[in-house]
Amino acid sequence: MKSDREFTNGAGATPAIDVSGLVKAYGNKTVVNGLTFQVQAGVVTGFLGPNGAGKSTTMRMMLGLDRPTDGRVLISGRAYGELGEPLRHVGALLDAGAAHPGRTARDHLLCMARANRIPASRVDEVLEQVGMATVAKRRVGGFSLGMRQRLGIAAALLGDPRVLILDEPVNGLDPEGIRWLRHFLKDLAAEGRAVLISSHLMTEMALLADRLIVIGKGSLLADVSMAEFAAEHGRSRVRVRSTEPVRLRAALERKKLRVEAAADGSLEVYGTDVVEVGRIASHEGTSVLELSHVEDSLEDAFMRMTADSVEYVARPLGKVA
Amino acid sequence: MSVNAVLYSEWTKIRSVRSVAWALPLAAALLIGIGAGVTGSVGAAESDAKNFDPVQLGYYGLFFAHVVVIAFAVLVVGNEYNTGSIRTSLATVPRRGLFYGAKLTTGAALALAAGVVASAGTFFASQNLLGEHGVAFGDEGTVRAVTAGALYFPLMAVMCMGITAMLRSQMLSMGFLVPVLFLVSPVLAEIPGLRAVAWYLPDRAGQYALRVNLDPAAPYSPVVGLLILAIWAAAAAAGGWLVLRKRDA
Ligand SMILES: Nc1ncnc2c1ncn2[C@@H]1O[C@H](COP(=O)(O)OP(=O)(O)OP(=O)(O)O)[C@@H](O)[C@H]1O
Ligand SMILES: [Mg+2]
Repeated sequence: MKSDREFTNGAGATPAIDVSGLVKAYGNKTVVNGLTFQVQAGVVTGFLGPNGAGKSTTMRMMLGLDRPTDGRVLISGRAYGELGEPLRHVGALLDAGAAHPGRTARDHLLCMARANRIPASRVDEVLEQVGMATVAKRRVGGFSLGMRQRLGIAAALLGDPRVLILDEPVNGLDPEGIRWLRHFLKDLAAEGRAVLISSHLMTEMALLADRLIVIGKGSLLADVSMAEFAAEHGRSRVRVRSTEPVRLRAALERKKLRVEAAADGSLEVYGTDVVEVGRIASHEGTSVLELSHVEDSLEDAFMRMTADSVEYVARPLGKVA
Repeated sequence: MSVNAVLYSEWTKIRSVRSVAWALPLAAALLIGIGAGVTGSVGAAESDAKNFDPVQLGYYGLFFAHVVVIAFAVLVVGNEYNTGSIRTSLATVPRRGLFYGAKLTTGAALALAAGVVASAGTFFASQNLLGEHGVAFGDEGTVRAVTAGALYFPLMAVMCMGITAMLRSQMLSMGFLVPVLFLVSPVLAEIPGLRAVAWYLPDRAGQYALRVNLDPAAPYSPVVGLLILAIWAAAAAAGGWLVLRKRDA
């Protein structure tokens, strides 16, 4: 990627994407409810939320496709519609980059490039970049989901934009493709671009994002750095159940370990491992009924955080009302 | 944003989808071919008929050609909605008036080019084949008829593009236009009480401008007929704009 443009990424700089008080109602259903957050250049920002949380709707409003009921989105300080040739500022992937099935991959990109006066040579460049150069002259209708996704990513890159808005770009990619995209997006962010990527998979975000914006039912649930989120929620601990919990607790605390009593009478010990807790217990002479390592995955944390705002819940089989 | 760039993009969209790219050449070929076939085979026999109109007979293929023009127009706009690429298009050209204007202009310009070729080709081929029963270019009404024949394609195209922009779907648009133009219009013309209304339908009004042997029952002149089609086209284009301007994509 040629990039001789200067990117500003200092403190106090205009945020790449500035969402403020954003509201979207369809009829009397409010699907985006007063969202305010900012997306900075130079990092990958994960945009997370369960199905129907309003991620795609928010992204459509960023691109001026849906009109906000209230609030606004600014891209590099300007409304999307005022960006001039917007592909040169913002690259977007929505709906696996919807394209006419009868058009070739190259022509699809060419139609977009022409409108923003992007040279045709750039079309070949981005096709090369996403590994689609060999199928450039094939019709999109024959593409797999993964290929269409790559074409959509190529489209997002066309104008060498400073801001990327990608709605579930990982969908349909094979493991090789996912890994490729992960490195690719990190590189783009490292070049000083802003990368906003939506997903409902926390595990994917944990590997990719530097920052997290979590929404549920259209409201902001968290706006934190990945590191903070992991430190806060990705807690690993040792669970121990003994016949004499009070004595064991005192022994553990003497070793400066943080101990919490769980509801079922077992103890949860932080900052240590099973071996050490086992040793302390046997040293103390208490009999251990259960000893295990427990790790809250980030996925669990995410599920807990969004539990109240999950809109579409699958009922277990047999419990259908 | 550059207007030329957006026009160029719209042209690229049309030429890069095979069904759309071939529609207008096909329409022109149908108009010329059917006209030549009909005038060549039954022209002499028809010439004895009481209200024989050599020019109208030459444009016999218009009924078939305009189906293809309608399909072209519906595809040009409807493809965007059916494939979801309207979002890509509006993200690329966020000024909706520019996007819509460029799309209609490109579609209309290509339809006009096809119309000029088709109308001139049809007139000269059919009048040549009619020989002594035909008319010459320059005879009364012929310049107007050939001009109207050329304008019929783009006006019909603009009307159908506008309607498709209002309905935002190929299926709905074809499902609306085909019955209206192929059933309602001929049927109305046969029902005594409603015949007067049928004169004001876009296809009838536009086609009246192709005649040289005028119908005394016509409530307006040929030029006014073409204007009526133009009003339909303008209304549909405006309707499409009102829908596109406000709706979420
Ligand atoms: N055009 C529309 N009309 C009515 N409701 C809509 C429309 N678009 C979206 N919605 C509703 O808005 C809510 C949010 O949808 P949205 O697609 O933004 O969610 P999402 O977070 O992207 O979900 P997913 O993870 O499934 O993609 C959903 O309840 C959806 O049904
Ligand atoms: Mg979505």
